[in-house]
Amino acid sequence: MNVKDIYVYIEVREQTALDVGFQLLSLSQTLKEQYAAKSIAQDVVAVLVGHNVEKHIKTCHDYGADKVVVVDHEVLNFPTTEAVTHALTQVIKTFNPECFLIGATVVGRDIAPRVAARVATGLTADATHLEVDPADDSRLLLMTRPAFGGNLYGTIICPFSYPQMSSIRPEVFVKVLYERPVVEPIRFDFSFTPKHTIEVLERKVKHKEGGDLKKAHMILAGGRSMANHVEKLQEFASSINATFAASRGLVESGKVGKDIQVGQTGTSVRPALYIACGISGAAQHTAGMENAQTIIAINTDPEASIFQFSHLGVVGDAVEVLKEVQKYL
Amino acid sequence: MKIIVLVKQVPNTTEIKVDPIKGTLIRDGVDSIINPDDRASVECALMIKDQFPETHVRVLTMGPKQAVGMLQELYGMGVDECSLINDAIFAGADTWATSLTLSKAIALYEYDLILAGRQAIDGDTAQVGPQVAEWLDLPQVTYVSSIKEVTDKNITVVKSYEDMEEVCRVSFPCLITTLADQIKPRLGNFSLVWESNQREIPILTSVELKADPKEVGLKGSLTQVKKTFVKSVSKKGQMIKDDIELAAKTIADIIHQNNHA
Ligand SMILES: Cc1cc2nc3c(=O)[nH]c(=O)nc-3n(C[C@H](O)[C@H](O)[C@H](O)COP(=O)(O)OP(=O)(O)OC[C@H]3O[C@@H](n4cnc5c(N)ncnc54)[C@H](O)[C@@H]3O)c2cc1C
Ligand SMILES: Nc1ncnc2c1ncn2[C@@H]1O[C@H](COP(=O)(O)O)[C@@H](O)[C@H]1O
Repeated sequence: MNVKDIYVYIEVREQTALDVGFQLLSLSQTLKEQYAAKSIAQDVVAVLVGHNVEKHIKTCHDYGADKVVVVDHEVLNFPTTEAVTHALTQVIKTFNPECFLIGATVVGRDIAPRVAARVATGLTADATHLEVDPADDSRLLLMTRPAFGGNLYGTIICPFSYPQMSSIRPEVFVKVLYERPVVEPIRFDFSFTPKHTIEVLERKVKHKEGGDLKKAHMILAGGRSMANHVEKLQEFASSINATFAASRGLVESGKVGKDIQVGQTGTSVRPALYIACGISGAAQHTAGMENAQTIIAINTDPEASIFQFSHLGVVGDAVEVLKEVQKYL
Repeated sequence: MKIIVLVKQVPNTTEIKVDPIKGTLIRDGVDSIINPDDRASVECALMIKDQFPETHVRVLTMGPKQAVGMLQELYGMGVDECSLINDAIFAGADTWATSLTLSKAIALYEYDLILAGRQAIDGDTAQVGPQVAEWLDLPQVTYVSSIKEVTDKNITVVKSYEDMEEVCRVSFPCLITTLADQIKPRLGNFSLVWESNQREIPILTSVELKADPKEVGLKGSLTQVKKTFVKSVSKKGQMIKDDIELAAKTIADIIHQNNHA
């Protein structure tokens, strides 16, 4: 079988295209270069799935798409399991991609396994590093991912089946302006007869305490030991225009909501500055914040593992240190 | 109603530490636990049984023989029947082969509802549930944080997205994956726990599942692990101890830089 090109699912929820798709297009340009170095030509192809999604075509090209396949249908206005699985399966069967990347959002993690099973290929979950195998004659994608709560890393390959598929969490890669020329999109003929009926009764926005963590420029996060000082930390955070976040330790104390949890089972963030106050630095927490540009950690325990990740480590009581910082602001 | 719950025994990954010199995982003394999201699934099944007492709850697990201990614990919670899927040729399976093997086991029984955890904490793939649904051609709802209503025909659940909640109703048969956050599992019932030690746990091998050795375990897997490694944690930056004034000034500086960037 002749397989070619790197495909990326662009997830659109009610007209909004999720950023992770653009991050993966930019990543794919890097992979394309690595393939080119081995004289294997690949294009980066965005698979734009939704309804009335024309407006996102140019953005796809901006962030690295050489071509765009548009799957437009009203049933795709919100991405449901059955319809998107069907759409991506049809696209894969029609074009035979070499690689297929999917953002590991709630939707991506719901559909990617079904698509992989339906087209009979392997799937790597939540890869954090992708690279084309440097060995001669190899077309393999080396997909590295954390396991055992981030304590161990495994490099996964998919040697017998296509496409080589991986899901990738938002904010693990950054989007880069490539400004590829806009070309006429490939309009995919989508026909679909639903079989599974899932009736949606209600959709409502979750109450957010902390603003949008993903977009935050600065984050101040508290750990379990800060349970009795949440208000002080929140005040400090807002005084420096930072968004307040928490480790699971603090969430478990019941003083803050789960929606501000950073980490493997919370949100992955990539702010310019992350200030960790009284957070021990468990692998499940650091998995979600280690990509911050600058990390400051304040902890009373000089042996705390968070100091392995920090650019500036301060041994001391977080509340007292922040009180002192206030004097210099 | 007939419910099948997929449960996995996993090492308690919060206890695993890395040996910084050898670069290996220290697994000694790390206990095995019921995967937290799967405990939530068991609890959901038992809540449905509380409401409809004629409900039959069956647990299936694939894993080594030591998982028998976990299954006895589940009997103690009130599960009706447990089976262990165990065969040397099932070992080393990726999610493709695992989900195929589990589907073959499920196909031996009748069911209205299949419950699984969102993800297992050892691999964290969250792939097995949806892939089982695909093999069995069932509708699925993943990331379910709570169950709202159950009738003899359908189930209404709350599905949790990043920034949104959805209430949806799905007809039986279907598959649901649950989140541990809001579902608190019950403790074992003393008299059930007592009896459960005596109960035999049937073992399903490749013979019962009529599994072709080429399609299960490591041989049947489509992905392969090329290598594993532990992360070197050596970034350690500047440290300030015993000088709160210097620490405060340095932090304030960094904040200023970022506020004007
Ligand atoms: C499947 C799974 C998923 C998980 N997902 C996540 C996740 O997404 N996010 C997450 O955060 N965790 C997650 N965890 C939990 C994680 O393993 C840790 O238990 C958690 O991160 C610990 O939180 P903590 O650092 O706040 O608390 P602790 O580990 O209790 O640490 C408290 C720290 O505060 C320090 N301290 C005490 N007093 C002070 C003071 N006055 N000033 C300064 N420092 C002080 C202590 O020295 C200590 O280091 C997960 C666990 C599992 C099993
Ligand atoms: N070996 C297994 N035996 C039974 N259930 C499993 C097994 N592996 C995975 N599962 C189920 O699938 C879910 C997702 O697992 P995973 O895809 O490994 O993250 C788990 O929470 C379990 O409900």
